Amino acid sequence: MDFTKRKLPPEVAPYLRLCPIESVAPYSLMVAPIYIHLAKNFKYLAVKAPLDYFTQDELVHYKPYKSFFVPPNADASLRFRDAGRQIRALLHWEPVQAPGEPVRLPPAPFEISDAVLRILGPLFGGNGQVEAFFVAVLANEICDPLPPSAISAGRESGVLRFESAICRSAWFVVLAVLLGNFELRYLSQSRRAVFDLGMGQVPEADALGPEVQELVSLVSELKIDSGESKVSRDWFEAQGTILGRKLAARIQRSITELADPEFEQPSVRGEGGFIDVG
Amino acid sequence: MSDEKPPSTVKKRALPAAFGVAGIVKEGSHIFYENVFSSRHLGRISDLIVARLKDSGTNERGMRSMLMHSLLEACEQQITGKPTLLECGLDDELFAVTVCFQMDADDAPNVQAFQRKLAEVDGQTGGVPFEGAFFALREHAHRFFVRIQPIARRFELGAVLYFAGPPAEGDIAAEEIDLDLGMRVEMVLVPDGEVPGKHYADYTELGDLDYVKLLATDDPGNLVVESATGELIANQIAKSVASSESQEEALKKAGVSSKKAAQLVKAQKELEEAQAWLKAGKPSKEDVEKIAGADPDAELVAALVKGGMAAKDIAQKVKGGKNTEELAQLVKAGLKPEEAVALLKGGNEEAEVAALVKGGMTKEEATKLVKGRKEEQETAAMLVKGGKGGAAKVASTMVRGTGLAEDEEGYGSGSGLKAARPKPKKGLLSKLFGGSGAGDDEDFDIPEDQMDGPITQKVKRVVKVKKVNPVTQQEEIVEEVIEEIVELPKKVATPWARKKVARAKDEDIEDPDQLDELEDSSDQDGDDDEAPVRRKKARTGPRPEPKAKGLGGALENLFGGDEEDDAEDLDDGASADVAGLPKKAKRKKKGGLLGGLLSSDSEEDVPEEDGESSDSSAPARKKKKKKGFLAGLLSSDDSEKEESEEETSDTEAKKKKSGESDEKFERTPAGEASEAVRLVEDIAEGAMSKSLNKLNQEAREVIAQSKSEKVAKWVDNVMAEIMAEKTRLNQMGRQATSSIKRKEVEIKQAENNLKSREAAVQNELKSKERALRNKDAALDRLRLTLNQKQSTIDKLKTQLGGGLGPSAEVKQKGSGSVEVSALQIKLDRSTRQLEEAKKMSTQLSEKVAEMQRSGSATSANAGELKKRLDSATKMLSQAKKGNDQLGLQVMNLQKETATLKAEMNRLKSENVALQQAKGKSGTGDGKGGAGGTGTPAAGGGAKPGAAA
Repeated sequence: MDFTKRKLPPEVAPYLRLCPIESVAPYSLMVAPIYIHLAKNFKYLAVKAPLDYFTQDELVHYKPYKSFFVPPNADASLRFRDAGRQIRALLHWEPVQAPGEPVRLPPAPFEISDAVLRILGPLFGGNGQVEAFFVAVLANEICDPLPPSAISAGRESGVLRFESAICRSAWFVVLAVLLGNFELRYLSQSRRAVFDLGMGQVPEADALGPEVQELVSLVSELKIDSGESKVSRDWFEAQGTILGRKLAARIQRSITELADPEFEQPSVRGEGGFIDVG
Repeated sequence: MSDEKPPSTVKKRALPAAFGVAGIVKEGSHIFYENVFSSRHLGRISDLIVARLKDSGTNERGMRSMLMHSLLEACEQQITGKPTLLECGLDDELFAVTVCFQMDADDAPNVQAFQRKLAEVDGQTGGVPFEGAFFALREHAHRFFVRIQPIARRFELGAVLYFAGPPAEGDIAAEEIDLDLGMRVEMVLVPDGEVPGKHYADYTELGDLDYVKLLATDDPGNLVVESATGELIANQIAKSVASSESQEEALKKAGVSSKKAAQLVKAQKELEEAQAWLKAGKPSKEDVEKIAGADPDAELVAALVKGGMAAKDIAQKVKGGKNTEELAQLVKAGLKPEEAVALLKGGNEEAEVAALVKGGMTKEEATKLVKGRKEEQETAAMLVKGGKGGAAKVASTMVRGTGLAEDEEGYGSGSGLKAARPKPKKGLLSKLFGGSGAGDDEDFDIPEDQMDGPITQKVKRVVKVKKVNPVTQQEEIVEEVIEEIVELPKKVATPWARKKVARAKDEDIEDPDQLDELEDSSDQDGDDDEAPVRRKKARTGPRPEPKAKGLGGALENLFGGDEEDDAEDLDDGASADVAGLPKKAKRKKKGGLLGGLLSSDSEEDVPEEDGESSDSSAPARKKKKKKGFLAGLLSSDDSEKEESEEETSDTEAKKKKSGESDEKFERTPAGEASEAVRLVEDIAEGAMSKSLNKLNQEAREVIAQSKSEKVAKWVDNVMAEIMAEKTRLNQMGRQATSSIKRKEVEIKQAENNLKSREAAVQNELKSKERALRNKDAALDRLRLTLNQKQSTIDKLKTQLGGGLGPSAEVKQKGSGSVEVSALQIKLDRSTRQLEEAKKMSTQLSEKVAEMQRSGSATSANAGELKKRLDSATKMLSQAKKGNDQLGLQVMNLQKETATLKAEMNRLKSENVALQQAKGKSGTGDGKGGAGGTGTPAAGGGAKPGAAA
C-alpha cells in the first residue's frame, strides 16, 4: 500500500511506537508502515508498507535491529483491531456454567447479532462510512490468518491486486458478520475463497456458497482498488438489492443508536494517515 | 387447513423467481431475517418473532409451526457449517416464511424428480423431498412452495398463511406438485447466478429488535400465573369461608352458643393468620395489632414487638380474656371472671398471687412463683432481643423449663442463639472433644466446661466474630477444628518440644498439669528452637548465689567464666525442667560420692533403685558409675578416651531417644579427628558439664558431711584438677575443630584447584582438537589442490606430447615424469602423515570424550595426553610444512609448465613458419629469386635463435 514517508527524521523519535521484532509474526499483515532505526545515519527507514508482511527470513535479517518502529497514525487502526478481537472472542464465547447455579443458555443468534453491532456500529461513525484499509485490519482479527502460501503468492502476482483482494475479502467478512453469519470457520473459509477470487484463482468447491456469491457480487461493486475508498450506508441503499437494503438497515441503526460522537473517522490520507495530501 | 374455510377473495400472487419473502409480501412490508447455523435456539427465535408479530393478528400456533418445521427441515438438510437463512414477513393479507439453504451434492434431491412429479397423473406417491415438512405444515398454512437453484444446489422451503383463509387461485400459478392427501406444493426454478431483484421492503435483523423488552413482556408464563393466581385466591377464599361456616355449625351442634362458636371460629382463624405471619418472620406492630384487635395495649405491643416476641404470643397476651379456654379453666378453678381476665391479661401480680393462694399455695410461695415467672419472661425477652419470632418463642419456652424447642428452625443471632437452640445431642464435635452430651452434628453447641482449650477457644471466637448460624457453618468450623487437631501433634512434635515431652515422659512425670504445661508450651513454641533458651532464662532468672563457699564457690566461678555458658544453660534448662535425673542421681549417690569417686569399682555403692527406671540412658549411667568417672579422668589417656567414648555413647543414646538426628556427625568426615570433634560436641552439648555439675554438688555434700579440712582441701584439689582437665579438653577440642576446618578448607581448595586444572586441560584439549580439525581441513584443501594441479600437469603433458617434436617430447617427458613421480611420492607421504594425524586426532578426541564422561581425569593422564597432543601437533605442523613446500613446488611446476607451454606455442609457430618457408623456398627456386626478397626478412625476423 502506498505511503508517503519512506524515511523519518530523528525528531519524530518521541512519537514513534516501538515494536519488538520478536513480537512480529511472519506473514501477518502490517497495519502501518514499519521503520527501522539506522543509528549511523540518524534516521528511520521504512522497510514495510501497510498491508505488507515480513517473511521469516526477513525477520531474522532484521533481528539485530531488535525493534521496529511504527508511526503514531497506526493508533487509528488499533480501535478496529480491538473491535475485531472482541468480535472473535464474542463468536467463541460460551457461558461458564458454575455448579449449583441456574443453567445459563448460550446467546441466541439475535443476541450475538446485537452485540456485534454494538461493537461494529461505533466504527462506522456518524456518517456510516469506513475506509477499506481499516476494514482489512478489522477482518484480519476476526478471521483466521490467511495461509502464508496464499499471501506470498498473492503479493508476488501484484501488489495492487493483492491489496485489493485483501480489502474485498475483508469487506466480505464484515458484511457477512453484519448479516448475521457468526460461524468463525465459515467466515474464514469464505474469506479465503473471496481472496482467491480476487487474485483471479478459482476457489475450492463449495467454498463459495450461493449466499456468498450474492455478497461477493455486492463486494465486487465496491471501489476499493486504491485501498482508501470509503463505503457508506447510502452506497448500500443505492444498490437496491435485498442485501444492500439489509446492510443499509443495519448501518442505519449503528448511525442512529450506536454512533460514538467523539469518534473521528480515521483515514489513511491526510494528517492522521500515512499518505500525505496536497 | 386450506379445506376448512371457503376460498377468500384474496388471490394468490405469483411467486418470484428469487429467494426470500420479498415478492410474496407486498412492497413496503416488514421482513425479519436471521442466519442460523444449527437448530439450537430455534425456540428462542420463534419466541422473538411471535412476540414481535403478535399484534398482527396472526395465529400464534400457525406462526410457530411454520417457523419451527421449516427451520428444522432446513437445518437437517443444510451442509454443516453453512448458514440457513430464515426470512419471515407479513403484510395485511398474509404471513410468509422462507428458509433457504444449500445441500450437499449427494443429498440434494433431483430437481428432475419434481418435474417428473408434475407429469405424473392422479397423485401417484413416490416420495418428494421435504414432503415431511410440508405435511407437518399443512395444518397451519395455506400455500407451500419450494424454490430451487439447481446448479448451486440451493433450496428454499416456503409457507404462506393467509389471514382471510385459503386464497383463490391467481392469474399466474407456478408449477405444482401434488402430494398425498391432496396437498399441492408449488415449485419455482431460480436461474443460476440470479441476483434477487430490487424490492422495497424494510428488512430487520432479529438482533435489531428490542428483544429484551419483547421477550419480557411476551412471557406466556406470566399470563398463566396471573389468571391461575386469581382462581386460586378465589378458591381459597371460598374454601375458608366454607370451613369456618362448617366449624361454627359443628360447635353449635356440640352445644356451644352461637356467639361463642363464632368467637371460637374467629379465634381459630386469627391463630391461622398468626401462624402465616409467623412463617413470614418477625411481625410488625401492625401485624400484631391486626391480630390482637382494634384497641390493643399500645405500649405493651410496642415493647413486645421490640422484644421480638412472636405475633401469636403477643396477641394472646394482649387479648387476655379473649382466650376463652383458659378463662373457662380459671373460672372453673374458682377465680372470679374479673380476676381470671386480669390474670390472663398479665402484669397484675396481685391477681396472680391471689389466684395461687386460692389454689392452696402460701402467699410467699405464690409471690415467689409469680416473680420468678416474670423474671423468666423478661429473661426470655432479653435473650431473643434482635432475634426472630421463632427464636423468641423457643426462648420463652425453654426458659419456662420445658427444655424442648418447639421451633427448631428459628435460630436467631447474637445472644439469643444459645437459648433458642434445642438441647444438644451427642455428635461429631462432642466426639472430637470427648464431651459427654454436647454438640450435635446438626447443631454447634459446646458446653462451657469444655471450652477451655485453644481449639475450643478458637471455635468460640469463630462463632462470636462471624455471628454465623452454626447450623450452616457447622461443617466449616468442624473442618477447621479437625485441621487444628491434626496440626496439634505436629506442633508438639517440634524438635525441642519432642525432646522435652519425651524426657518428661521418661522421667515419669506423674503430675498431668506439669505435662500439660509442657505440651502447651511446646504448642506455643511452634518451630522456634531457640525458645527454650529464652524461656529458661526468663524462668530461671538470675543465677542463685552459691550457698557453700570454697569449692562450691570456686566451681561456680569456674563455670560462670566458661565460654560454654549458653550451651550449659540450654541443657541445664532441659534437665532442670525434666528434673527427674538429678533426683535419682542424688538418691543413688547418697551412699557416698567420694567413695564412688575414689574407688574404681563403685558398683557396690550404687544401689539399684527398685527397678523403677525404664530409662534407656540408665544403663549408660550405671556403666559410668561402675568405672568411676573421676578415676577415669585421673587415669591414663586411654581411660580418658574411653570415658569420652562413654559420654559420647550416652549423648547419642539420648539423642536417639529424643528423635534428633546429629547433623554435625553426618557432616564431619570420619577420620582421625572425629573423636576430638565428638568430645567437643559433647562438651558443647553440656554432657560433661552436667556430670561436673553433679560432681560439684556431690562434692559439696561430701565436704559438708566430712567436716574435715583435709578432705575438703583434697576434694578442692581434685575438683580443680578436673576443671583444669576440662579446660584442657576444651582447648584440645577447639584446636581439633580448627584443624579440621583448616583441613576441610585445604581439601576444598585442592578440589577447586583440581577442578580448575581439569577445566584448563579440557579447554586445551578442545583447542587442540579444533586446531587439528582446521589442519585436517587445510590438508584436505591442499590435497585437492594437488590433485587439480596433477590433473593440469597431466593435461599439459598430453598437450605437449601432441604438439612438440619428438626430441622435445622426449626431453619434456623425461624431466616431467621424474618431477611428477617425486611429487607423487611426496604427496603419498604427506597423505600418509595426514592419515596418521587424523587417526591420532580421533584417538585424542575419543580420549577427551572419555575424560568428559568420567569427569575425573587424573593429572598424569592429562599430562600424557598433553604430550601426545604436542607430538601430534608437531607432526601436523611438519606435515603442513611439507605440504606447503609441495604446494610451492607445484606452483613452480605450474609456472614452468606455463613457460613450457608458451615456449611450445612459440616453437609450434616457428615450426609452422619454417615449414611455410621451406615450402616457399621449394616453389621459389622453381619460380626464380623473387621470393628471396621477402621471406628472409620474415625468416630472419622470425627468431634466428629459435633453432638453437
